[in-house]
Amino acid sequence: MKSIYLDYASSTPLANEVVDEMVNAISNNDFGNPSSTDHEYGKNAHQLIEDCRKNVANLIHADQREIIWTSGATEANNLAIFGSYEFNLKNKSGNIITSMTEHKSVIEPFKTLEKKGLRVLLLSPKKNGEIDLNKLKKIINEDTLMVSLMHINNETGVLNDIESIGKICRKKNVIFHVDAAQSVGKVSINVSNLKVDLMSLASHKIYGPKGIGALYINGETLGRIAPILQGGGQERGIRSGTLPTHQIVGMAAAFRLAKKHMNNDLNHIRECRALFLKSIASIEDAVINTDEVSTFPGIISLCLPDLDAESIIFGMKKIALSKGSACTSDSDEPSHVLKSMGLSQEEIRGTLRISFGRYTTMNEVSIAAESLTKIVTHLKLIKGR
Amino acid sequence: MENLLRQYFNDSKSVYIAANHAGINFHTGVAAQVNGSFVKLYLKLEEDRIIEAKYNVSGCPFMIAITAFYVEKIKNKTLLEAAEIQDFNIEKTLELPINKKDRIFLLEDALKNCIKQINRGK
Repeated sequence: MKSIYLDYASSTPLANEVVDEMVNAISNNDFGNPSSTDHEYGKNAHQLIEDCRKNVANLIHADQREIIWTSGATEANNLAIFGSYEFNLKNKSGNIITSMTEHKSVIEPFKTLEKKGLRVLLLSPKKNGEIDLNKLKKIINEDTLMVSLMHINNETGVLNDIESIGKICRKKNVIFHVDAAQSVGKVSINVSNLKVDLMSLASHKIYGPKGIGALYINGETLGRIAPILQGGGQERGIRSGTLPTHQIVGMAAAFRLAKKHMNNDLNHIRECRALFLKSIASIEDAVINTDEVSTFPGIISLCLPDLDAESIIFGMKKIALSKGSACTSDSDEPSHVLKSMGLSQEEIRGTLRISFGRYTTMNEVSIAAESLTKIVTHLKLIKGR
Repeated sequence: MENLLRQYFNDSKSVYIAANHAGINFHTGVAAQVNGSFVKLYLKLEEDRIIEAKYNVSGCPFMIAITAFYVEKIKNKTLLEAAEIQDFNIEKTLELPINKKDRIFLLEDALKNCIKQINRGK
């Protein structure tokens, strides 16, 4: 029997429609280099990619010219940060604002920029993990060059108010970058209403392939970037490298499906969450690390303060879930996100991430909840207190 | 290996349960880490021989499994024999990964503390 998959925040299975379209793209005469437009093979691939660009732009209400393909959200984050630095920040002195709850692919580039002389101001979140708008208003000033804050947190599911953050940034004429890897395709994003200059997009979190992503660059505002890769000058010189047609086809298909299924998906994961929480109600000391109002329902950051998440996961043999973000769970380092929310080492050690998706069934949710209840009882018994 | 690890992880027959064992005169030794992991050993002796051994443990799956394994193996051993932890081949039998080997030190510390308590009572 296959494990029950409850780690959708880490990655998602490919949708069947995505697989079909990717196979078609590989099998048909679309293998040409999309930059080789002197012949029909290249032209076909080029046309296919431009159609895909429209699909991706369409999901976030952007113009297709505002989408730059990357290898994923990590590259998109790096391109947004280092690209902005290279384009117009490197000759300036000032500060950059980000948060302690960001993904490592944002925090690490900023650490590099700090070494280059820019001041990085790290916002600590509120107890519920949310960005504190008042704190942001207090520290943003005329020296601020850029703000980078994520939309949905990958570990906790906390949903930040990027509309309000964008307004604060625009008022101060500051570049605003959003890491939307966890939110795009899951919640509605309309960049035409948001004061966002740069937005990182992922494919594999919404049933598309890994190895492909995009950076949205607002065509009308401040988000101007220089390339960080040198090469053939693809993507209008912003991102060199031969474009992977079949990956792009997969991402576009996933984005199209996300648009179609978004409301159903959201309702479905709300039901999964409600059933799961109801089914584990007998676990007395279980605490959700975030509040219901500002959390995306597909992710539950669940703390069992006196237990070890690694043991809980080990004990739930047939359930695939995670103790933190997939990107950091190889290391024994406690989660920087939970730490910044003020959780103790013991609370961090006892935190699990459960995430639901389009293909989660209610039966699976019940089995997982039962399995969790059982292992918690066992671990409490052997703990003896 | 995973099966053996899982078998000891799930094994609760030697777990100390206050409601069941409170009347038994055990010598105890505990060792803990700052992250909240701990091992508590409960040993009942006749002369220097362990005639009953129980434990409570909290930690990673390896910590739990090696404790259950060790407690099973030290029954009917002398304290001196039990103290030679390397003789029980825990690392090899349960195939502890390198980054989990320090769990054995915690077990060792719990035993040392138990022996200290025994010696204090003599």
